[in-house]
Amino acid sequence: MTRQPDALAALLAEEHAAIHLYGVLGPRLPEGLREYARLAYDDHRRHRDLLVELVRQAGATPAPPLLSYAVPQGDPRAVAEAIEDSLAIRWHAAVRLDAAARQGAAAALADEAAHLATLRYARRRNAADAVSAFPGR
Amino acid sequence: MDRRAFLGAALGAAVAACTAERRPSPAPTSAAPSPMPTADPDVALLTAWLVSERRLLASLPPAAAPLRNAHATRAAAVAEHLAARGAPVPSGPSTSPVRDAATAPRDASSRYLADVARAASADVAVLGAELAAGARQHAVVLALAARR
Repeated sequence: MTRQPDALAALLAEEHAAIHLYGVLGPRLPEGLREYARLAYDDHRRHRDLLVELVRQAGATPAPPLLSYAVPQGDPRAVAEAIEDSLAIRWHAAVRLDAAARQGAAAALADEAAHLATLRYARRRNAADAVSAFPGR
Repeated sequence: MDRRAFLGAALGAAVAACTAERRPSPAPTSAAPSPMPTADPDVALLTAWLVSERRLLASLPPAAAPLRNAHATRAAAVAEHLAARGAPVPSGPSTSPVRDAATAPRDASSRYLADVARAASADVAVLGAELAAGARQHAVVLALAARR
C-alpha cells in the first residue's frame, strides 16, 4: 500500500472547489437546508485541512484553491448532491491508499454519506432514495 | 459508471482480493511444532461488525424497509468476508436489542470508524468505512424523519 500524492492532490482540488461552491450555493438553498449548508461547509474545510496535511506528509506541496470556480447551473440541491456524490467516491478510494490516511478518509466518507442522505431526503422526502446500500449492492 | 455500480464493483474486488489472499500457513522454519495457527486479526473485527449490523437491522420496524435492506446487505457483505477467511459466521438474527434506537446508528458509526484504524487488511478497512458511512446515513434519516 503506498501513498499516492496525485490522488490526494486531486481530492484536495475537489475539496477546494466544494468549499467555494458551498459558499455560493448556501444562500440559494431552501431555508430548510441552510443549517445543513453551514455544517457541510465546515466539514469540507476540515477535509481540506486533513488533505493539506496528508499531501505534505507525502512529500508534496499542497495546491492552493483557484481564484474562481465555475458554478454549475440548475437546482442548487442537485448541484450540491453532485458535488457530494463525487467526493464520496473519491474518499471511498482514498481509504485504500494509505494506512495512515485510512481513518481520516473513512470519517470523511461518512461525512459525505451524511451530506448525501440529507440532500436526497430533502429533495425526495423518502428514505428509499436517501440511503445507499453501502457496500453498494 | 453510477455510484451503486462503482461501489458494487469495489466490494466485488475487495471480496475477490480477500479470497485470493487466503493462503495456507507457511511451513515452520524449525523442527519445533507450531502450537497454534496464526490468527487473522481481522476476524474479531468482522465478527463484531456482523453482530452490530444485525442489531441495527433488528432495531428498525418492518416499515423502514430501505434502511433494513441496507443493513441486511451490509451484514451479508461482512458474512462473506468472514466466510472467505474460513472463520465461523455467527448465525441467526440479533436477539440482543439496541439500548436506544435513536442513538444506536451514530454510536455504531463511531465504533466502525475507530475500528478502521485497527484493521490489518485494506479490504477490511474499506468495508469498515462503508459500514460507518451506512450507519451515518441511518442516523441522518432517523433525525430528518423525526423532524417532519
